[in-house]
Amino acid sequence: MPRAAALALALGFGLGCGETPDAVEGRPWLPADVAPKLIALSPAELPPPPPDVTNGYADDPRAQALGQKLFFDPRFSGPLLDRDNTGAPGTLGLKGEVGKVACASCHDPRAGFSDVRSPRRQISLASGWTRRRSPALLDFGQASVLNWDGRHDTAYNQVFGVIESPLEFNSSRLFVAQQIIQFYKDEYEAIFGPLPDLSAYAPLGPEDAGCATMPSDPMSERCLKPGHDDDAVIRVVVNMGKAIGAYERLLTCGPSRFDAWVNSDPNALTAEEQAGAALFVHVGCDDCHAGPYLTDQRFYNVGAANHLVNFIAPFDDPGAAMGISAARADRLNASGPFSDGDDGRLEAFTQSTEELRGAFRTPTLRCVSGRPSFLHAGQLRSLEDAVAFFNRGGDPAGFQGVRDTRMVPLGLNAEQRAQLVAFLRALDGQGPPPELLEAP
Amino acid sequence: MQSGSTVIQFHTRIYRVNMSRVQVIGLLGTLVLSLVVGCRGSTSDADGSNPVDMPSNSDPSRNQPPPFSDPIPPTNVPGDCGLSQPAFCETFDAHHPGGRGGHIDETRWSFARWTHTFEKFWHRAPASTYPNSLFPATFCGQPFSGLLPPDDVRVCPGVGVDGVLSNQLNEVFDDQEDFGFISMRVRQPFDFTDGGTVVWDVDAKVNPYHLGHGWFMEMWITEDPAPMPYHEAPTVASIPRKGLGLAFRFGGGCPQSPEDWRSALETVHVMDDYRIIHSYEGPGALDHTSDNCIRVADTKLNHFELRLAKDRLELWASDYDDPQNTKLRTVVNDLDLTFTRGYVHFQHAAYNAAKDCNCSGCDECGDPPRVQPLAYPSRSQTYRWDNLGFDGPTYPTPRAYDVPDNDLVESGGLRLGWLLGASDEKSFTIPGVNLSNALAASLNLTAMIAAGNRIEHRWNGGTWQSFVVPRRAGLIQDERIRSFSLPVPLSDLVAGSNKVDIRLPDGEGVLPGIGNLDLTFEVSQ
Repeated sequence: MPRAAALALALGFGLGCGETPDAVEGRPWLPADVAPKLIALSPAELPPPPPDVTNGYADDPRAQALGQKLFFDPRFSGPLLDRDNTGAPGTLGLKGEVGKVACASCHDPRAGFSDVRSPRRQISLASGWTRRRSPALLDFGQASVLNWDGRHDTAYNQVFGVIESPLEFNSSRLFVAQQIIQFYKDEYEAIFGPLPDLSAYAPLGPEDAGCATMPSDPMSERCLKPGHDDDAVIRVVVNMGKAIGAYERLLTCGPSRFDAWVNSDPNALTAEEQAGAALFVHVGCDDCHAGPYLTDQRFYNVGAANHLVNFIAPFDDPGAAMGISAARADRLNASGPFSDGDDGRLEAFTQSTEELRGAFRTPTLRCVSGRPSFLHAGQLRSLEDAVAFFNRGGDPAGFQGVRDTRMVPLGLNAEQRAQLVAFLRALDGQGPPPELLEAP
Repeated sequence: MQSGSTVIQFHTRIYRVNMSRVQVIGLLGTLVLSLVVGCRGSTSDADGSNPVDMPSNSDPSRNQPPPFSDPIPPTNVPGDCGLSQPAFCETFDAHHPGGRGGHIDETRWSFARWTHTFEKFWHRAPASTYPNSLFPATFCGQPFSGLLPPDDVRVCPGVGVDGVLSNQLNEVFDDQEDFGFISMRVRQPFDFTDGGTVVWDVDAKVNPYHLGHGWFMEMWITEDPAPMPYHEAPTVASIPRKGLGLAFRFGGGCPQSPEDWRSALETVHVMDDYRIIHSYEGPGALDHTSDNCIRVADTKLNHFELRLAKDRLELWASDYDDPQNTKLRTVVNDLDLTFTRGYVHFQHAAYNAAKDCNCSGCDECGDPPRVQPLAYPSRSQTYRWDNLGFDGPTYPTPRAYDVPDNDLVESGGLRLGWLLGASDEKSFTIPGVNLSNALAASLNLTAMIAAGNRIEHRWNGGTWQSFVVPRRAGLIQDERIRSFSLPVPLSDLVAGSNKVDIRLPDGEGVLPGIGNLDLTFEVSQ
């Protein structure tokens, strides 16, 4: 819907629809003019994760159980490098300490698998300061292309980025493989078959797992160790990633009060929340936050300045212009030899590199209220600020690329902004069962 | 000061109390200059002489439009902190030794500190000048060594924004390669229901190599008299129940160079119900003028004015080298404040200043440093404050009784708070409590505690009062430094000596503890 039309609707000029789709019948409490759009956001049952053809173990309970253990295990990480690791709460330890970073360190199960630990709760402090916010992992299985910028197109290759970044695990694939052999041999082999013989490589200690000092360009530099190009080593880490991916597919937000309202209960939302739901589709938020998970899983430039200089140098982020290209070039991608199937998922992204410059993933909005900050670098600290950001049509400058033409001021007043915030809070679900929220 | 003769008398008094022979020689020269240029001054206690119970309807400022409906240059009226109708003005004319805050007057101010070295929370190490660092600090005009509370807060003469020598409050600490701050809260409430202005002078420097580390000032207004509101660093999440916070660091595209040394309003926080509802940051959210970067220098004061209404603020400030020219720097609309009366806090914050340093091509200076010499900004830094005030209705100053800081010697410094395990209770006796005209009472404190855990207190052996640290979605749940204002039943208190027992019964994990305590009474007169 064109923004001008959307704005007109937001200001009270209704569609005046004369036709009511069948699906709307029996739900007279839904505003007739937007009911089909609301129903599109909330089917009677939320669809489960689609099959992951790249991961033959994606729905294997044994892999899920192993993945859960691995997700919480910090023994794969090397030394903490940044001096902001002071040992205080909010940090994972003291600079130089090893074995402190797990997936769960920045994807906190208590907060929808987002990072509520790091100072300011925007970017994450692991071995160093990441340049982007740790994305929440609920409904992870709905996405085929991962990360804020699409850098990884499978769950199994996504772990390589985490392991080898001097800002995150500061480790190496060899060290991780050796740790798997040491601590998880039986469980691994029960699922994936015999581990390879890596005795040709001298055992790495955790202090030697990654970089000894912070590289000058930690976003691109890696401290590679022997075996980084050995398919036997890679295979062990790939399977680790497949196990973690199997676990992450279990993490769901679940139905919300919004779903109850759309499908059965006229009183499940307050009047303010109902007004916010109608406004959400009136102004076209569902152009991108579409479908049952309120995301189209695509990448857009919303004009978000990365002006933050909190603890790191400003990062001029090219977004998906870099990520999608890197995913295509990655030997570990869905088309590569370590994938269990190829569904051509990257082919869906037909935009040019320039069109993807400064573009980032549309995040799901389910369970959004539990996140500590919003946008790819956590630039916004509250839902109120997120709504205000889109209401003003994004930032005037400070980002790469060209802002999407649909990002224009919406002219929402304070009451309408509050309605949208109330609606977004009504998207909370029960979350995963408690047994998935801690190390088994 | 209204006249030259007053200046002489005033400075003579400071000389007798405070000055070394060397300082006096320099001071006399400045005095001569001050007699020539005249003076803007700093003396009258407009708030304390005629307190009233309620906002005065006869206050002419209440009949004026909000002060920023059309931005106009402020008028620096001599005296009274430059405010035409001051409700509070602090010019640090006298020393008030004793209490938590060195020379500060604790009848008007609540003074709080927080700092730690690795895993030693509540610990404050001695502060010293680092002569081989960048931007080495001085204190009261001199290099210093081994300063510990309360000697880290002193009233000393300095040149004000009017070019005249006057008393200023110097306060200093060493960030110990981590974080810390000093927080000074005006006990008298500030009411901006009909618009209001807060003013302050300070040498508002920041680490010019700043990437999130360094020293900077913050200014907060909170509805509750809890100490030390929010600061964004590891361990600290002292998010007030309701508050407005202004953090001054490098933002808005200001240069990051000591040759063109500037600061700016970087972030405006709005808090409600112990959570962030707005954190305005960056040019899209903050409406900076083309002149938003404020020229700063060590020991040279800038004049600041915050013009505030419920939904809008304007920040005005002068450059250090053009101190009489106060200019509009930043505007924020849509504040959505949920309170219009609160307490003003002036804070000096620091976070590992030596980390963001004069290095190129490295994420940090390294250990040992990769660039020598003079790569590191000083870990210790001094801020000089003067003419702190606000206008609006005048309320009675709450009557408060500070609990003296802990003075446990630890690792060459002091542990200022108390660690409390789950089975511990800590008792304090507060003598001389005056209950007359008391309307309500509160226990104000800082606690290292996790969300969902309880702070419990009882008075004079009475019933335990329990407060559960609120959980808020998206916020830290682990142990963090938080500050709270907890109601105390007046019926539990007695005139004279009162004993309070405090416990953190759920305290486990990372060294729970308490500090910065006071008992505060709202009073009718």
